[in-house]
Amino acid sequence: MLSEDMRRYARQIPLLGIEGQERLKGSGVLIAGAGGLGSASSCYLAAAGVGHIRIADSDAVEISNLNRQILHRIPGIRKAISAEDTLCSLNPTIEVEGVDICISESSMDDLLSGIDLIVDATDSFEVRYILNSAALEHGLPLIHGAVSGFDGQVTTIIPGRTACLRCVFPRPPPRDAPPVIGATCGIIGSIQAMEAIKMLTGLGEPLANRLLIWDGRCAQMDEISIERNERCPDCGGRSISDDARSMISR
Amino acid sequence: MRIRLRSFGSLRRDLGRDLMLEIDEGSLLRDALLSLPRHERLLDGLKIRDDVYVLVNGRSVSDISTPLKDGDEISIVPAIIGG
Repeated sequence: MLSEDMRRYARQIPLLGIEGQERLKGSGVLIAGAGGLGSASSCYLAAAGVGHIRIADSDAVEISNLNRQILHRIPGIRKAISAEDTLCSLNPTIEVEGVDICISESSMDDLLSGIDLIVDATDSFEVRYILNSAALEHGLPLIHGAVSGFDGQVTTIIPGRTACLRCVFPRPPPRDAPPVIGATCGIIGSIQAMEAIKMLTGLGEPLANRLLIWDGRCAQMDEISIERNERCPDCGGRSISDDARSMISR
Repeated sequence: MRIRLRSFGSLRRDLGRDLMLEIDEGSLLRDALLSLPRHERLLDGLKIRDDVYVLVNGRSVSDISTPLKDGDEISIVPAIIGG
């Protein structure tokens, strides 16, 4: 490890070990969405030293985004460019790739090239189902997060081992653009980053088969044990992939 | 029989956080849900609303005719969408 990296990560190497830090450096993470959740999760993953961050979003920054989307400063700029600039300045020692693309089934193979883990930071269940299917197909962990108002939820989906997103949320809810407190995105996005770091380094216990629900009004965190649905149209009957097995056994 | 019912997020204010329901043996999920004073927050007629998810023992359930048994746990989760 470079001496610069030893100094930069000196306060986390005692937790991750040099091996864990090297694993982060050798990892690729796709952050799907450069909004509120993408802002929090990407900043912490970049600062932690994830070696390759690809962050995808097809929107331009609007002034109403700025209460929560701390990646961005200037309305009108493409979010992919703004995110790349912010993350590169936060940690110039990693590779950051802002991708200005609408996430679709046809774009997933390219988006997942060289990627070890997906962070769900989107704002629609239609796109979340695309991420879910791609994660299952490629055997990649998917860290699901969502926010509304003071509330949020997060779970870690490990193909073949845990309930998938469709097992828990079998139908898309009505489309909505809910109001949200920026700090809610910070809480849920930070948990997503923590889950990603754990999965990439093999440390700790992942938030597997548990849906964590944050109630910000009452400052309460609860969890629901969740189970796979054998008849799930997305994951039913799939066995664990070799890639996922390798990731889990780290 | 006794059924535990937990609700989360914005639904807590209408439904209560953690309830223990006493309902008849052989009751269905709809019997438990209809016993709640503010069940219109969950049900659209006899269907679960589109913006609500109901889990029984950690399994997402869409059919309110699902039979319940003593000790089952119902979780009611509002749709949380934003990113």
